[in-house]
Amino acid sequence: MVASDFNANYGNSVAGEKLADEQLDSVKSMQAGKRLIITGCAVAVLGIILYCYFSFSAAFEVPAAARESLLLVGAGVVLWFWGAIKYFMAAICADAREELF
Amino acid sequence: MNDAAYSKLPIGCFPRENSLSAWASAKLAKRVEELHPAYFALVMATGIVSTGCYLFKLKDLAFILFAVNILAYFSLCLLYAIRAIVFQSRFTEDWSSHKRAFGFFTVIAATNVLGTQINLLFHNWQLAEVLFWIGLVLWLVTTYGIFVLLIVKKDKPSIETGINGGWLVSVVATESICVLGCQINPHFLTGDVLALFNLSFWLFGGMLYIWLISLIVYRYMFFSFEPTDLIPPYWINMGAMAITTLAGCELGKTFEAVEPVCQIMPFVKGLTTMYWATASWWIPMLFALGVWRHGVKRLKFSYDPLYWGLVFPLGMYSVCTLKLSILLNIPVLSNLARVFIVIGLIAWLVTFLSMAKRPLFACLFFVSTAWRSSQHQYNQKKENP
Repeated sequence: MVASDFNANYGNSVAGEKLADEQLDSVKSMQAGKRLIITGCAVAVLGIILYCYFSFSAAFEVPAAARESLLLVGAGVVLWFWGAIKYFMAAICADAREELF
Repeated sequence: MNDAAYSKLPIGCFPRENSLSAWASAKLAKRVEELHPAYFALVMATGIVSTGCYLFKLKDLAFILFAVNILAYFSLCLLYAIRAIVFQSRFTEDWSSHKRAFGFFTVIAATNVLGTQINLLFHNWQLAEVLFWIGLVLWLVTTYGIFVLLIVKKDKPSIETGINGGWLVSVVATESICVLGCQINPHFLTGDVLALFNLSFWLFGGMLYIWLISLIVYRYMFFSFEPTDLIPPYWINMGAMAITTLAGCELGKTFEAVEPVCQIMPFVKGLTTMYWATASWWIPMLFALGVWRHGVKRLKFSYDPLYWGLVFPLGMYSVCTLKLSILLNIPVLSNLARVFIVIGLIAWLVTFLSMAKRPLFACLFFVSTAWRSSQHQYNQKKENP
């Protein structure tokens, strides 16, 4: 949503401007959350690929690198959750729940 | 206050806490009422990916997935039981619905896949046997219940709207009995009787596939096909063949020297290879249809429990290819199996994270609204003591 839309919706009053700023902050937080979700997912997928690669390469024992890749999967999932929480909290604040739920 | 009223609630307007909890309970009750009978595909998919991981020595992931699976299995059992008791009419309706009835077969397949997992990961064949008998009883009730109900039903849909790939879960359930039956040694069934029992399930499952896939291909070819018609369970077209291949491999391995399987061993191997080839044929076809659905027709990806019906075939194809490479002594095939276990793992993770979104949002929404409501009440009390 652009600033002119906010002006049209809320006018130029102080309360209107504050609400418009809050809405813009929410939209920015939602975008940041979305980026974290995508990054988290990509990191987790990379972790899986590395874990499988190192495990398949090993003859007998699972190498330490494989275990470390598993940590990468965990980190990706944590990033994903962080992003999802950020996105949803911003969405709730922006009163966009009707669209999501 | 209903759902629509809540969504129109402006910021700064707070509901009372008791009405909020009433709304949350109503929302939860609605979700249980609408719970898809095929939700046990989550357990099937998690179980087979875990089994594949174990076979490929990815043991850490195999045990993590097992923990998720146990939790999912008992949670779903509880939800199904609540649904059967509280929403009896909806539950009964599903049993005679052409679209949803076959979803109940996922319970059988999930039970047997879990049994296989327990037997493989913990060597606990006693518990696996308990699950085998539960699966067998459920198979009898579901197979003869659903098929009879659909046959005697008065108002039937056209083949265009009535049939979908989910029907083939009945084949998966049948073959899953054979797979677990080959891996454990159930009481009352021994030696050649057990071999004949498993052989019958394997052969009948194959025949059921031929009946159903003929109808599905007929529907594909002669009726209009929209992107929304291509629901994820169409991947079961391949998954059903993959589990039939696995059942054939288990049968060949376990009863190689037992009558009547030993007499028809070349037939078992030949038919198993045919099933594997059919499963392999489906993969590019389903992939191309997926590209048409999402790439050409631009249908947006959004989480649906039916997506578990896509993850399961990927994991199953990996496991069956590995077993076939051992049965036919073609080691190069195991590389293909490795590729598919990685694809299966990625598909599982993406589907699981998508599934986690909805409850996460519901929890955050509930907590944040409750918190804002309590803050508002506190402020009001402070202003008007």
